[in-house]
Amino acid sequence: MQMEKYLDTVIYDDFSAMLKGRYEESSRVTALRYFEKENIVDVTYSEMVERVAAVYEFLKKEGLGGKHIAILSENRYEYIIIYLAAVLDSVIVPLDREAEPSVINELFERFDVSAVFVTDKTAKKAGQASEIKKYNIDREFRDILKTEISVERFFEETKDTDKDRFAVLASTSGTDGRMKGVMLTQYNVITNIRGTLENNVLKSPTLSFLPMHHTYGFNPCILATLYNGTTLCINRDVKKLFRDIKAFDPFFFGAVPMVIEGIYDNILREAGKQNKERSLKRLIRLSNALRKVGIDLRHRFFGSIITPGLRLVVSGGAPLRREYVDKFDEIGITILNGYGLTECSPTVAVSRTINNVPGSAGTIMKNIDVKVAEDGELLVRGPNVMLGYYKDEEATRDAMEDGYFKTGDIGYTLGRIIFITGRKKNLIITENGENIAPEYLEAKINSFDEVEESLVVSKRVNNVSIVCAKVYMGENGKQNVQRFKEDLKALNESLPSYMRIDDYEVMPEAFQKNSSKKIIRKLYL
Amino acid sequence: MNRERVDQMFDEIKKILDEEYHITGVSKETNFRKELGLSSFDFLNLICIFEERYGVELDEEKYIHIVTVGELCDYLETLVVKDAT
Repeated sequence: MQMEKYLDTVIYDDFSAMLKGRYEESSRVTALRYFEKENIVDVTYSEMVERVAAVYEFLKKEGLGGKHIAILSENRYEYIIIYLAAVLDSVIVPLDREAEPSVINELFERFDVSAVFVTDKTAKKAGQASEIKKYNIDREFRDILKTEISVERFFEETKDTDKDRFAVLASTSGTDGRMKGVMLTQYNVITNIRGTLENNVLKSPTLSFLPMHHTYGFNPCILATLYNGTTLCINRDVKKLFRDIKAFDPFFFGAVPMVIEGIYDNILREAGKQNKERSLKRLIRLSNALRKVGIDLRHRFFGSIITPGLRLVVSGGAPLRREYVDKFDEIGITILNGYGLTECSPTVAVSRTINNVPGSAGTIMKNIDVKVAEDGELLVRGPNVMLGYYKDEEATRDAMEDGYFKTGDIGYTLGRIIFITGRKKNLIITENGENIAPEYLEAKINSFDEVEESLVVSKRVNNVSIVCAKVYMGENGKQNVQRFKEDLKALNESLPSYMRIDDYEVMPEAFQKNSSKKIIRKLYL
Repeated sequence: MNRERVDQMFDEIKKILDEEYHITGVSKETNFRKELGLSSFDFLNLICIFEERYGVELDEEKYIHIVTVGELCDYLETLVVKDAT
């Protein structure tokens, strides 16, 4: 195995130790920064820890120690405080605020949720579960923060927190469409965020805008910054992303391919509107030529295009087209690929600025072992691998092999560099990193009276990937198209927007099947 | 719903699509993703432009379900009317 030299970092093995370390060493540093209406608000590390302590004490007084506490909220600073407070002695359950109310309520039950933090925007979705305690962040958080506890007592009480206890219940798409609960420990998460800092230097500030309920949005972007003791800027509304990028001038943000492509296309559009597209392209050509002779003026030439401080963007959640890595490099911004899964807390590999191998999914992080099975499947072992799926021993058994987690991804490694070439499972991975189990949508479509069988696939149209349902409605299927369109519209309205079926195709004959009567999916991709 | 105002909205959307994305020839039935190839990021950008031009705030719960140009016209019309009253 090729030896990789990783960066040294401070060592915290649980969140109590991390909070104590940051309280002592970075107390006056801004931990969190965000817009409140038109004003920028700063929260220092000492203020952040005091608020975490207050919420921790509140949860204890409410009898929620050891209980499962869900959070159903848009991105906001309070999310982070609640997560850090709950993870120490309870189980935090981050849920997708876009999910249908029926799904949310089903998860409350299946994940044994005792309490949920909601906001004015999400309260309605959690409305049906009357036996669960509800706390509205918009209305109650200020009062919750008044719960009295000294920071010293908080550290004393939490210093023996069990790092190996199940502390985070994250959700991931199961192939049957039902969400599976992924059980993670503090140690899983904290060693994983440390791993990202062992691969790359993270300068201040960083910007967070990915949904916080995603482990990719939360762990390597938010928690890694706080572990690092630097400033995390929070975008609360994606519509204000460009304002926040300009105002916060981040060194780094984590993104998904759709956003990275969107930002670049936006640069070109803006240049086009000002009749500057040709001069921009000319300047890029000039800059490229200068770089060949060792003169790098990219930051002087292009610093103002997005924001002067931005140097690093990590792309994760889905594969990014190689051309965008090159395009951003031309204007002085390094795009690093990352690879991970919720079950791995989530990061397995991330490219390094000192060794950014084009086309790879990054350098495998320290202490993580990746091996390739005979059929090409990547198997992962390390301190980041989950305890198992919540109350689903069968799925846990199926997912593990001799201590390794079976990723379902096909690929290979060259030394510590990892390459992904395909998937074993049928999951559709969208450009914003969401996973869709086609079987889930197929089951919904097959329940339409007019449909005999269906297949849901991803297809590329005009540079975007869309979800397409191929349906067979019997020999006289064309007569049922109108009815199908109506049923499909109703289905789409009940689904989260990322799962929406954008297109359909009526098949002239039934799908071809194998000997066990399953549709031969690969024939129709 | 006022048809005249919906048509005005339609003209406005056509103008913005042309200015921003050089897209022409759309109808009310045109699908933003399937036919125009707008990603959800592009669509969000479009929403921001409308918010800036009309000084209104579009409700995320509503606009995430919009699929066609006509649906956006109808929704914008209700917002502008609400704002005027």
